[in-house]
This record gives sequence, C-alpha cells and structure tokens, in this order.
Amino acid sequence: MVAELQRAGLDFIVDRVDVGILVVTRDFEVVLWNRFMAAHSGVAHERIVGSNLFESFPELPREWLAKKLKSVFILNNFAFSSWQQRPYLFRFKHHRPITGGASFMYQDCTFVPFKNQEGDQDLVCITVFDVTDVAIAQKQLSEARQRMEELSNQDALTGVYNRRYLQVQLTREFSRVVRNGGALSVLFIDLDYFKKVNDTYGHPAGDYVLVEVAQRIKESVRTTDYLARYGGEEFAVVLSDTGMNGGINVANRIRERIAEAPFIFEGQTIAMTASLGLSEYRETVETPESLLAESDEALYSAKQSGRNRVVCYKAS
Amino acid sequence: MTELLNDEENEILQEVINIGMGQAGALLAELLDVFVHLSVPQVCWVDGNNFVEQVVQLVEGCGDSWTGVRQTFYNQLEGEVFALYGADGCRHLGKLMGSDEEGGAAEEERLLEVTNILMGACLIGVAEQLNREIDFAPPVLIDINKPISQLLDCRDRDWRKCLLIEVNFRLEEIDFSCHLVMLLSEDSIEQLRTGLLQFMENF
Repeated sequence: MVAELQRAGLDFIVDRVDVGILVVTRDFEVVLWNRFMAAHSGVAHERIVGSNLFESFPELPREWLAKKLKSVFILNNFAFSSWQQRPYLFRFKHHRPITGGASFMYQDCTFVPFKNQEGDQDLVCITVFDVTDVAIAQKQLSEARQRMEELSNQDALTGVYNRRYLQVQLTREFSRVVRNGGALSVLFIDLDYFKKVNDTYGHPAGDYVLVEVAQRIKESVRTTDYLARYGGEEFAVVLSDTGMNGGINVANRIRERIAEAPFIFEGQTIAMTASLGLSEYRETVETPESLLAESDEALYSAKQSGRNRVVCYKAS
Repeated sequence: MTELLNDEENEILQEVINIGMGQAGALLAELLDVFVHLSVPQVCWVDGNNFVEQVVQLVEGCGDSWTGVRQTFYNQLEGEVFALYGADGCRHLGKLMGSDEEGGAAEEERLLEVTNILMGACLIGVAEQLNREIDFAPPVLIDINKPISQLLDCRDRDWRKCLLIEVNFRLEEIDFSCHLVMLLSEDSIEQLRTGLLQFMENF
C-alpha cells in the first residue's frame, strides 16, 4: 500500500514539476511526456506517447539530436545543451505574455541515459529548463555594458566623441600608418568669436550652436572618420586614409557648411564662421601628439590671418 | 606524488587511471569514428599556490592562445575539469563532430560538446572501477585565445592539495589536440582511498 502510494506520488511529481521532462527511446519514440511539455507545446500526453517525437515536432534539429543520443548511449554519460549557444530545443512561448522581452522560451537541456525496468531497452531522459529570465537579465546586462562604453566615449552635449576617445583612436590610426604606410590627417575646427554668442544670446543659445555645428561637421565627414568635441568650441577630426589634398576638400566643405547659413535659436539669427587647421602624417612626425600639435599650430595661423579660413601646416 | 596517499595506493591509482583512459580511448574511437591517441596520463598533487604553474608546465604552455572549457563533477568524487585547446586544436572540431554549421555559437557548442564527451569518457571509467558515484554539471566556456594562466585564474582558493590528472588527446587524420586537466578535490580523497582499497581487494 505504501509502495503504491509512493509510486503514485512520484508519478505526480514528475508530471507536475516545473521542468519539462520527456523520455524517448533510441528511435525517438516518446515514452514519457510531462505536463510542462504538454502545456507549453499544446501537444497532449495521450497524443504523443507511443509515437515518434518528430511526427509532432518536425522542426526539431533531427541530426543534432541523433548525435546527442549516440554520445549519451555510447559513453553512458550526461550531455547538455545551453541557451547561450542554442537558445532553445523546443520552440515554446515564454512566460512573459505581458512584460515581454523575449519572443520564445530560452532553454537549458540535460540528456541522461538509463535503461527500462526490464533492462532491455535504452532510454534517454531529457529535461528542459526554462531559463528565459536568466537570459533576459544577461542580455540586459551586456546591453547596459555596451551602452556605458558608448557613453564613456561620447561628448554629453553634442553626442560626438569626446577628447579622450579621439586620442585613443588617433593613437591607433597613427600606429597603423607607421606600420603599414598610408595617409592620415588631423583637422582642428574652432568657432570664431564664439564667446560673443554666449555673452549676447545666453548659454542655451551657445549650446544650441555647438550641437548644430557638430551636426553640420558630421554630415561633411565619412563614418570612418573620428569627430570629437576637443574643448569648449573646438572640434577635431581624425581623417583616416586621407592626405593633405583630401583633407583640404573636407576642411573647406566644413567651413562652407558652417558659414553658409546662420543658426536660428528662439527666433534669433546667429551667424557663425570657423577657422580650421590641417596637418598630415609624414615619416618625420614621430608621435600622434606632434601631429595634433601641428594641426593646432595651423589653426592658430588661420586665426591670425583673419579667421573663416583653412590653413595647412607647413614644416619650416 | 605521495602525501595524501601511500605508495601502494598511488600505484593502484595510476593503474586505475591507465585502465580508465584506455577504455575512454576505445569509446571515443567508437563514437567519433577516428583513432584517438591518448598520452600516458600524468598524475600529481598540486597545491593552491603552484597549481597554475604546474598546469602550464604539464601542457608545455606553448603560445598564449588557448581556448578553455570548464566543467564540474560532483557526488562521491568531486572536482573540476579544464579542457585546454591550442590555437589550432579546435579549428577542425566541425569535421570531428560531423557538422559544418558555421558561426560563433555553433562552434562554441561543438567545443562544449567535445569537452563533455572527453571528460565523461575519462572520468566515468575511473569512477566505475572505484565503484564511486559521479555526476556532471554542464560545461562552460571560459574564454577564447587567452594565455593558460588567465584561463585558470581563480579567486579565493581555499584548498591546500588536490589531485591532478592530465591527458593529452590527439586524433589521427584530423588536426586536433586537447589537454584535459582533471582536478580532484581534497574533500573527495577519502572516497578515492576507499575506492582504491575496494579495487585492490577485488583484483
């Protein structure tokens, strides 16, 4: 009597435990199908037990499963499958019908070989764990990490790169041309009489101009270039694969884009020009810092010679 | 390799491991349909301080580019296994596993699967001879293309001694090699001893 009760109790537990459990033979005939499997798949116990697993689930990775079972039987050992490499074995809906975040249930599976009671048939017990919450949490974590990395490279006001990131990329590009040859130039852009904008129209207007200028510069360079806000009203661009001639074209385009139309902030029209300094990599330039310094020197000349112009660095 | 086991026990242990690995080789050949070369298993005691150096020496840590998979075993015998694949060692796993599915996740999955198979083949044989129970947790990818010292880096080591078994797998025809480093915890040494004594009585 007690033994009977235990048996019924075990059956109840296997059926109702919050884990998918199925048992199949070597030929994938289903021997056991618990309630978790039935509830999530919509395939009832009565319909699937005694039939071939692939009849009800033709989309299952047949070859992969066959190899899994082969290794489990030959080695008489567990085998596993993890959501990180294979998101699911059975495509089930997830447990978040309201809050969402996943389009299916992520699953970890374990395959355990055993023999039937008579000992004459090889069986494998497959357990299917719902790990959707873990998977979502991990994805959110790596998204947050990526976002933080982006933020740490960004200038908060304009959204272009910041000075620190520009220096990292310049150093990388510099080593590349030193090693492999090729062209590299650096462009400095400084807005003319910007302080007056702040003084006359207020800081919100100044900030607006900076954001708009960043946008105009961005539209004038390639996505492979690195545009950064270098300081207050100063921007810098690392132009990869670009020498002095190409650089001059880019610089003039930027100068024209800034000067051609005034900036409108709360009904006020703000005209703006910029001075630009350009330098290019040569074998005599030994460090990324000296390339920056040359570009800065050229910018200084542009300011000295009347502003709203492009000056290229000339080695003296 | 004395200290926790006496000379006689050590000798039987080496014998049990040799038999276990021999069985593993035969099973793997059957499963993978290729001839598997297994090196003579190296067995030694390591402590928390020199464990990483010793593994680097055993594996003759050529190059800084290794891929590591970690897997835990538990129950009467417990410990952790590290499967270390050299830079070229895991490039041909697809051929070995008879799968040509491409992409990072598919390759990772094959790596975990091979680790589980190699480790299971080795440890189940040893556990069976010793009549000890053993179970396995899923394998986990540690990292790709890193120096061994970085792959084995672990915090808060609170053990003094553990038993290290190292085997090197090579396959004929396919360019593949893997060092399997199995570490048996100090806590299961008593179970190991009991198993060794039983094995001796029945021999």
